[in-house]
Amino acid sequence: MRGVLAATLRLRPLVLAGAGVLLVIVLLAVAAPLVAPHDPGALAISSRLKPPSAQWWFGTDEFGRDIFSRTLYAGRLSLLVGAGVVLISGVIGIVLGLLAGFFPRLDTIVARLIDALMAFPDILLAVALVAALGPSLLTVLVALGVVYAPRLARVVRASTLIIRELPYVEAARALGVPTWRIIGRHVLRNLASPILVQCTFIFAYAILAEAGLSFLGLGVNPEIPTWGTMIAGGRYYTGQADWMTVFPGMAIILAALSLQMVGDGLRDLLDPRLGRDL
Amino acid sequence: MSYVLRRIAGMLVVMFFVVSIVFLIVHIAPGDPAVVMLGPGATAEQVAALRAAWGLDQPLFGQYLLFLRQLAQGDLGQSIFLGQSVLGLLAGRAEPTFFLTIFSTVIACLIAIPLGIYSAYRRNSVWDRLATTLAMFAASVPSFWLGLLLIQTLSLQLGWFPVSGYGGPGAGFLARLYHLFLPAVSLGIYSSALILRFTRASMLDVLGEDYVRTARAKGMGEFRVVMKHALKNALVPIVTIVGMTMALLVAGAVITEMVFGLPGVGNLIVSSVLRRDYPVIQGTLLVVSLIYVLMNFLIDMLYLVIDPRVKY
Amino acid sequence: MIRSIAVLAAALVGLAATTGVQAQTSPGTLTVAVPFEPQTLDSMSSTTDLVALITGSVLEPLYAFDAEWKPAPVLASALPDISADGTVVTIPLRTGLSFHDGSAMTSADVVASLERWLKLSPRGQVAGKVVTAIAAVDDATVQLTLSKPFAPLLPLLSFNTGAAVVFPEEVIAGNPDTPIADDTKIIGTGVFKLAEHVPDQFVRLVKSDGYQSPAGEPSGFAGARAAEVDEIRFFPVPDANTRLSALMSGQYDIVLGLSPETYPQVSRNSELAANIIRPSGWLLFVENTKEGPTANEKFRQAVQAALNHDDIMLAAYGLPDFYTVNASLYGEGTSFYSAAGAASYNQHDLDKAKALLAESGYNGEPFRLLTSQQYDFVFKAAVVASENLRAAGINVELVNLDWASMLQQRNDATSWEAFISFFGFVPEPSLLATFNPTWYGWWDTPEKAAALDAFTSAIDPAERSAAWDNLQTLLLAQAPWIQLGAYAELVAASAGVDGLRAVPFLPLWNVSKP
Repeated sequence: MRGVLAATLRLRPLVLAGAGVLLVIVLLAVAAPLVAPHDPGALAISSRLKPPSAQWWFGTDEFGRDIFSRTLYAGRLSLLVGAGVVLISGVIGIVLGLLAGFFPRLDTIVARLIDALMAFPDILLAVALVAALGPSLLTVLVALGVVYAPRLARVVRASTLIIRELPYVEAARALGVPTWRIIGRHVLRNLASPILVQCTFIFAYAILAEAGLSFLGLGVNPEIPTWGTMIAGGRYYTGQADWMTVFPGMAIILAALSLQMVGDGLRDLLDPRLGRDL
Repeated sequence: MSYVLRRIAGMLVVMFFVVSIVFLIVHIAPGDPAVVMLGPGATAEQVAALRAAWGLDQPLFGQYLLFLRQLAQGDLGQSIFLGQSVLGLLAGRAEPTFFLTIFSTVIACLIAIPLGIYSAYRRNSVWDRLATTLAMFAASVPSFWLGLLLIQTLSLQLGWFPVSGYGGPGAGFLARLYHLFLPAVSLGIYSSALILRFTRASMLDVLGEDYVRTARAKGMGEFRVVMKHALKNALVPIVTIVGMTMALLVAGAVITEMVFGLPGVGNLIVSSVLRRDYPVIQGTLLVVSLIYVLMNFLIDMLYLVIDPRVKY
Repeated sequence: MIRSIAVLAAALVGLAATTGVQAQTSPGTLTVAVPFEPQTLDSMSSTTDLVALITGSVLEPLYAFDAEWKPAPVLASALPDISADGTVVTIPLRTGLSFHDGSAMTSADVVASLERWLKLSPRGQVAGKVVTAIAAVDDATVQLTLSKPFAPLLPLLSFNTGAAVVFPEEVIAGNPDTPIADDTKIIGTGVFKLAEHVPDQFVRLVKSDGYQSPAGEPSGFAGARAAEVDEIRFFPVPDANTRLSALMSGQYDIVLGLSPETYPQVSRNSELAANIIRPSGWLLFVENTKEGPTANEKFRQAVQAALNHDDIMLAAYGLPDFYTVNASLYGEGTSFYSAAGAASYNQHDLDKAKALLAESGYNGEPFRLLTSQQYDFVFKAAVVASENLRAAGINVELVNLDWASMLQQRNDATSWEAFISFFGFVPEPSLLATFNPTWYGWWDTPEKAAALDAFTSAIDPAERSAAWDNLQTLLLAQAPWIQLGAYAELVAASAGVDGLRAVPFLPLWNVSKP
């Protein structure tokens, strides 16, 4: 296993680079209170819209808040959104996928339900849910979680269909091992890698989608810094204070890119047959 | 033939789920839509009358049946804010979204398919790595951010393109396409990533097949091998993904239409959310998702036509 | 396929080269980008500024304000004749005028329109409490009977929103007490007529042939009106950034709703002209006097003491040139200028605020401040205000809603302590709905009721201004709402547009372009 890992990493220096960048982003976000030179919420109206300098590395926004510090703190929220969406879509997706894959009688219905959920374009469904529930962090998490769950469900279902026909799983069933134990012991263990691959992509899409919702004014409370709300607030200053949109924008690109590189690398590393069905 | 029938039955079940989900989303909205729509000046009697008119005073299941009955008659209701039928509104907004979707798909294909073919052909070369990394990069850039950038440079600094709108009343077809160019680019670049990835993967599959090796062994030119034998067979999955991407583009169009001020379906739904125009939100969501389901079905049917190997 | 795409691309590039980006502007057509889609084009039923702006050249009132904010006749032929006891108001009408549908305008149309106005218009309803009868004396004379002398009548009749415009009698008969939803019924006597309205896309006005103008030198909304262009088109462009970009690229002739912070970009550009409407309105911090901690006067005084108006206004409007912070709603030199009670305005005294809070018995109850990001300046002001209040020890919860939800939520007295909103400029305090006891915040103390009554029934100018001093003193003492400052509005136009008058509700007649 270690040999394979090393070989793959040697082949794909980009994967290594992606993992490195991702690690730095996570560390910076977690350690934001230690690293940030300023209080991200402190207003200083007299020093508003200052360009990047030694005092404010990324400049200041329209309230005179330090953009560097806000970008770090925003990273926490953006990563939290990503993780929360992965968690919610993970739970829904795995349960639906297992039900469909393991119980042929349920499959016809559950598979259609998955198809139906897939039919809603992601932002559109999120927009409608926000209309119904009102904009908040929780709504964004739930909406995006529901949106991405069917992707995962499809992968889980497809893999489960293969796994349940494997000789030793059939043997276990013949021996009367309870279904939940088969699922726990054999199926989930085999599913770990395709799920992990999907999750890295969902993580990346969730960060992008949150930014999109914030851009439309339907995302989290704009007082909370996320990369999305920062761009949304800064777009009125393009051409005048470009640093307000450039830095959080680069943060999004870096995070999404490194996540996808890692996901891509994982996909190649783990069973390629199961992972390709994106 | 029985496959087609089975597929149609499946599609109808999916559509039923879609309709039910849309109904649920709109009806879990807390608060009373009648109060929202009548505004601050409304009296209790006016609210009660509107609730009765909409059937809101009935139990949820009764409302659901009413909703299904109206839907079966092709009635999507009336917009509260604009006072027009939802179906009419959607028809009026369909054009920019339709052309934006087509246009950006064309752009995405023009970028992605040649690059994907070349990547697969020169597998694991520097060019392959570069192309796949570029694809990932394209999928990492928020489309509205790219849109702002394009407006700032190509429209404002260079003055090559209009920054917003759809040409205004009486604009000709070419003028409208011209207005769609930047939106289509910002959207197309984003979706080119997925198409490139799939083109590459399916070309890789095909290039490893026996008949390709045979063609090569017979001394056929490389270009002909790749373009004729391999591409022809890789086309089915590519067409699938292009079709699916088009459906996904509708979601991307929501944001792009806002950035570029295009009067399309995406613009309509965002404005409707801000105006609390629930019938429009419901109708738009319903129509867009049903079109997606229908397209998926048509793609499946297309398989039967273009790929004789697919047998069910 | 590939070839046709190449052809298309070449055509696009060619188009770009030959037409530039003037796709939406053409000679004889004035194009205006506006910030949102109007809910109705019936300016009688709506108090939305944009509705008044769009229909200002379509629907005409009896009177309108001139540049000095003095009423002047439009459809009337002269100022009204008021009886000695102040209760009979006789309005002479111009004759020989016709509506856009060709029918003649007579006193019957005016009576029907005024009756609807008294019932439906938020302005008219104020007058409705005093007006007891409206009658046509003859084809060209209308008479209003009042229950008591009422100074605000003429300003109310002249104002642009909730406007006392004249529709044909048949239109009124079809829509007696609801806003007109059918655009074909938007029929007036104006210099332009409504030709086409595609919701969310555009409103198209065309020159009305045979228009008969009022007499006099153009001034504000008064005086002669002429169509200098064949068409006016309004495009709703909700995104402020898109509006700015479109303006910079010359896509529109006039762009409204720009952030003041874009002023340097506009004024630096030699192809654009920056017009500043000053003042354009007031930013208000409104408190709930009915429920919660804000029902306590001492608490409201604490809030008033804590706010730093200069910071709030700077954050909201960006450039000091675009706002003023003054206890008086009206500028120095105007008839309603007043320094009464100014000592408790814009104090930013945290110690005093804390002391007042302690006196009020405040115990950390949540202070829900409603705001909306849809109006950039409202949101920014709320962010800074909540920072001020937190520094004084108030437990602020900033509630960000979309504008429609905020408007709805402020109806419910149990769901908020304060909200920030704006109020478009009105030339005369009697037009300020904020003094109405039914207005949000529900300020209704006995002292206030007496002071307001004294103000509205005063007729003599000196008496009125004394009564206004009194009302302002009370406002600053009881602090039901706090005027954070007055703001100016930036209207950008392409340099060729001539004759634009920078006043609120932007009159678009007499405006020409090359």
